Amino acid sequence: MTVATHRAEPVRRRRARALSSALAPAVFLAPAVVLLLVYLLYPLVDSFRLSLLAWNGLGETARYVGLENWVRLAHDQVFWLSAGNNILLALFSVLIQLPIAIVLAVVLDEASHGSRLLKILYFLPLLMSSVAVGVLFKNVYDPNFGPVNSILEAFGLYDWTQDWLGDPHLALASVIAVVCWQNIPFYMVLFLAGLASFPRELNEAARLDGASEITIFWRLKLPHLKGTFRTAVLLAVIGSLRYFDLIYIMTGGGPDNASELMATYMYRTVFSSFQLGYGSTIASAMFIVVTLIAAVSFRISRRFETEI
Amino acid sequence: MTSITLAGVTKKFGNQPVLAGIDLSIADGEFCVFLGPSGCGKSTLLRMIAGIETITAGELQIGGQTMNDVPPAERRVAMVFQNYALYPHMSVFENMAFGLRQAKTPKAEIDQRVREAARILQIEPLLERLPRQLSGGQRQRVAIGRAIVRKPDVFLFDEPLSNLDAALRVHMRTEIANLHRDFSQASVIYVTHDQTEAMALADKIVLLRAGADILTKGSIAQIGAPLELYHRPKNLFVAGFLGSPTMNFLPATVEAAKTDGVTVRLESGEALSVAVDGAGLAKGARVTLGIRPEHLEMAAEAVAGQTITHTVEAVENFGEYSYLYLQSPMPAPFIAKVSGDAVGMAGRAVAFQPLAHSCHLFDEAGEALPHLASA
Amino acid sequence: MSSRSLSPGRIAIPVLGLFWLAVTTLPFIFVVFTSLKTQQETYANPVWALPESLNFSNYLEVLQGLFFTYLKNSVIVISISVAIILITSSMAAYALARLKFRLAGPLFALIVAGMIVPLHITLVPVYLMTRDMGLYDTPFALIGPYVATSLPISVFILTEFMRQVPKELEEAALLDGCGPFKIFWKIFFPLSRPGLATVAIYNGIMLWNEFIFAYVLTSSPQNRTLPLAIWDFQGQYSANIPAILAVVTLTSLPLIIVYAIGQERIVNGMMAGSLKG
Repeated sequence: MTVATHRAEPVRRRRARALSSALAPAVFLAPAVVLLLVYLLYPLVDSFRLSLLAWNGLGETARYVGLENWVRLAHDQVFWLSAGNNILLALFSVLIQLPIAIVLAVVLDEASHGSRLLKILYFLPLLMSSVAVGVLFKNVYDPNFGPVNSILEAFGLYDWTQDWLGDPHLALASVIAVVCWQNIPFYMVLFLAGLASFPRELNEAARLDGASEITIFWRLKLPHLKGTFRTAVLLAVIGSLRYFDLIYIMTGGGPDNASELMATYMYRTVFSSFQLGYGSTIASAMFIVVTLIAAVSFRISRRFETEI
Repeated sequence: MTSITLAGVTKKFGNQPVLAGIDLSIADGEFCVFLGPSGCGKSTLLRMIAGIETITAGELQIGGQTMNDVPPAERRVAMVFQNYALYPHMSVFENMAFGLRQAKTPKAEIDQRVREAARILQIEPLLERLPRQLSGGQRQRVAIGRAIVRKPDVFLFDEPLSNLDAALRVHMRTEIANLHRDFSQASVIYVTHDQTEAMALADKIVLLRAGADILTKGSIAQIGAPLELYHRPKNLFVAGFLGSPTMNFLPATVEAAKTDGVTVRLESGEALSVAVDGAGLAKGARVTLGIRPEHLEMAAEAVAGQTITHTVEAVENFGEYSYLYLQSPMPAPFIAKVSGDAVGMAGRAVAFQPLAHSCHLFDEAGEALPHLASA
Repeated sequence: MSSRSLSPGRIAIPVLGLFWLAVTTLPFIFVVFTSLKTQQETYANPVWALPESLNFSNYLEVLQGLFFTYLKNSVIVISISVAIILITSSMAAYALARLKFRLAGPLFALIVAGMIVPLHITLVPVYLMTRDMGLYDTPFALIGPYVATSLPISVFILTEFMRQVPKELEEAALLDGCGPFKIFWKIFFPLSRPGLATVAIYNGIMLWNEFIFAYVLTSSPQNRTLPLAIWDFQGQYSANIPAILAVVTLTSLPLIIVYAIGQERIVNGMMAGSLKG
C-alpha cells in the first residue's frame, strides 16, 4: 500500500515542494527586509540625495545645488563645535559613567542585605522617558525655584548659585551630569552581570591567601571585567555620538550653541530654519562620522581582544 | 516488502568522503546494527536512510522503491534520536501525536494509537507531562513511543541508550529487544558504538571502518551475524574491534602451509598450528597470529607442542574470571582471560595451549585466512 | 569572617550604596512632592518643605485633559509595533539561523550593522515619506519607523537564540512531516519564547519612551504618544511647575507599575537587548 502511494505521487507535487523549500528563505526574510529597505536603507540613501538640494521642505521649490551644502558644512563652525561637543559627551560618558558604574556594581555585588531592592531602585531612571527626565531636571536646575540653587542658598553659598542651563559655560556640563544620572544604572547592571560570572572559588582562594577586599577588587575583579568594560566603552561612545534627546529637551542646543550636538543642530536646521537640504547634509555627515568612529572602535576593541 | 537495499552509496561532506562503497541489504523484519568506531559514519548512514542527510551517490531503496529524493516523512521510517529530540514545549501526548497530526490522521485514531503505545511502554501516567519533568529513562520511552505510533516499516535508532546510566542501559536494551519481537514485521536499524549492545540485539551487524582505508577498502569492514563476526573475523580490523579485552596479535612466520592447516613460528621460537586453509601461503611469509584472551587456556602439566610460554607481569582478579597481563615483545597489552581466581601468579612463567581452531591468521594485507570447516 | 567586619570595604559599601540611593531617588521625591503642592506653595516655601496638604488638583487637572488619549495612542502604537517586530524578526531569524542559503552570512552581518545607524539620519527622509504616504499626524505613522529601527537588534537576539535549538528537533519535525513553515511555526517560534520575551521587553520600553520620531511625525495632541504629553503640557502650563511635574509623574507611572510586577525580567531583558556582539 505504501508503495502505491509513493508511486502515485505526481512529479508536479514533488517539484512544487522542492521549489517551496528553495523559496523558503526568501519568504521568511521578505517582511523584515522590506521594512528595513523602506525605513532604514532608503532614508539613508535619500538623505545623501537631499543633501544636494536647497529646499525648505514645502512644495516644488527644491533646487539642485550640487556640493554647495557640503562646502558650507566644511566651513560651518557650529557643525564642528557640535561635533566637538559630541566627542566631549563621549569622553565624559566613558570617564564618569563607567567608573561610577563599576563601583556601584561592586557595591551591589558585595552588599548582601537589600542589594536586590537597591538594584531595583537604581534601575528606575532608565525606565523614564528622556522627556520626563529632561523636564524633571530642567526644574531641578531652575535658577529661581530649583532645589540645586535652593540648597546652595540654604548653606549660605550664594556665590555658587548659577543659571545652570542658561550659562553657556555651564550648560553642556549640566546636561552631561543628567545624561550620566540616567545612564549609569545601565552600565551598573552590565558590570553586575560581568561580576556574576566571577568565579566564587577564586574569591575564596584569594581570601585564604590573605588578600584584602581592595586587593581582590583591583587585582582580580577589575581584570575579570575587562571584556564587559570594552563592550561598555563601545556602547557609550556610539551612544554619545548619536545623542539627541536630553540635550534637545533641556537646552535645545543653546544657549548660543553651547550645548549643540550634531543631531540637535541637524534637527533645528531642518525643522526650525526649514533648511531641509542643509539639514540632510548635516545628517549625512553625522552618518559618516558615526560609521567611521564605530568602525575604528570595533577595530581597536578587536585588537585588544586578540592581544589580551 | 520493507527490505532496505543500498547500492554503491557514498557520502561526502564537501570533498571529504565519510562513507564509500556501501552495498547492503537488510531483510524484512531484520534487526540490523551499524557498529563502528567514532567517525566511521554510522550515524550519517542512518540519517541518509531517514532522509535528513542527502545521499551523494548511489541508490537507496526501501520496499523496492528508490527513496533518494523522497522526503523523510514519506519514507515510512521512524527515528529515535540519541538525545531523544522531544519537543520541549509539548506534553508527552502531544509529542507522540505530533507526527500523526501532520499526516492528518483522524483525532480518534491518534488518541487510540498514542494510548496504545503508552500502554506498551508503561508511560500512561506521564502523558500530560512535559519532557523536562521526565527522567532519562522516561524520555527514552517517549521517544520510542513517538516512533511506535507512526507504525513505520523501519525503525531507526541512533545510539538510543548512550545517554542512560549503565544499569538502565541494560534494562532498556532488553525492552528494545522485546519491542522488536512485538513489532516483528518492521525492520530495525540500530546505530551504536557499543559492541555489547550490538552482540545482544543484532540479527546482523554491519561493522564500519573509519579513516583513510575507506577509500581503498570501502566503509564496510564486514557484514554478518554477531557470532560470525566474533568467530570468523574477515580482517585485522574486525578481529581487533570485536571482543573485550581485544584479541592478542603476535607476529609470526609461516613454517608450513597446507590446505588442511598452517604451522607458524613465533618470534619466541615456539611453533603453533592454526586450523586455516594455507593455500597461497609460502613458507617464510610474514603473518599475524590472533588469539582471543579467552582462548588462551593454561596448559596441563608436561604437555609438549602447541604451547606458548609467557611470564605473568600482573594480575587482575574479578572473581568470576581473571586477566593475566603477559610479557610480550609487542607494545599492546597481551592478555589471557582465565576462569576463576589467579592468586600468586605474578612473576611466574605460564604455558598456554591455544586450540588450533580458535586461532586466527592474517596475511600481510591484514585479511584473514579462511578457517577450515570445523570437524 | 567576624575579624574582617571592620575592614574599609564593610564601611564603604553601605555608605556608597546609600549615597547613590539618594542620588537616584531624591529627584523622584522632588517630583512627587512638588506635584502635590499648589503653585503658591512652590514660590513661598523652600523646595524641601513637605506639601502643606495632599493636593491632587494638579493630577485631576491633567487627567481631565488629554492624558488618556496620549496613553491610548501609546498602547496602540507600541502593541502593534511589538507584535510586528516579534513576527518579522523571528521569521528572519529562523531563516538566518537554520535555513541553508548562500546569502545567510552577509545578510545577517548587514542587518546587524543596522544597529549602529544613528536614527536621526533617517528622520528627514522618513518625515517626507510619511507625508507622501498620507500618514503624517496619525499614530500609525510611527509603526513603520519603530518596527524598522527595532529589527536589527531583534533579529540579532533571536538568531543567536535559534542557533542554540538542537538540530535534532528540526530533524524530528522533518520526520514528522513538517516543511520549513511548519517547523518554524510549530517548533521554533514557541521554543523561542524567552528570546521573544527579551525582544518584546527591550523594544517595548525603548519605543514606549521614544521621543524624536513621535515628535516629528505627529503634531496634534489627539495623535501623540505619552512622552509627548509632557512636552505638550509643558507648553500649555509653562509656569505651573506642580502641574508639569504631575504630568511627569503620571507619564512615568505605567512603566514603573509594570516594572514593579516583573523587575528581574525587565532588567535582564534590557541588558540582553543592549548586549550586542
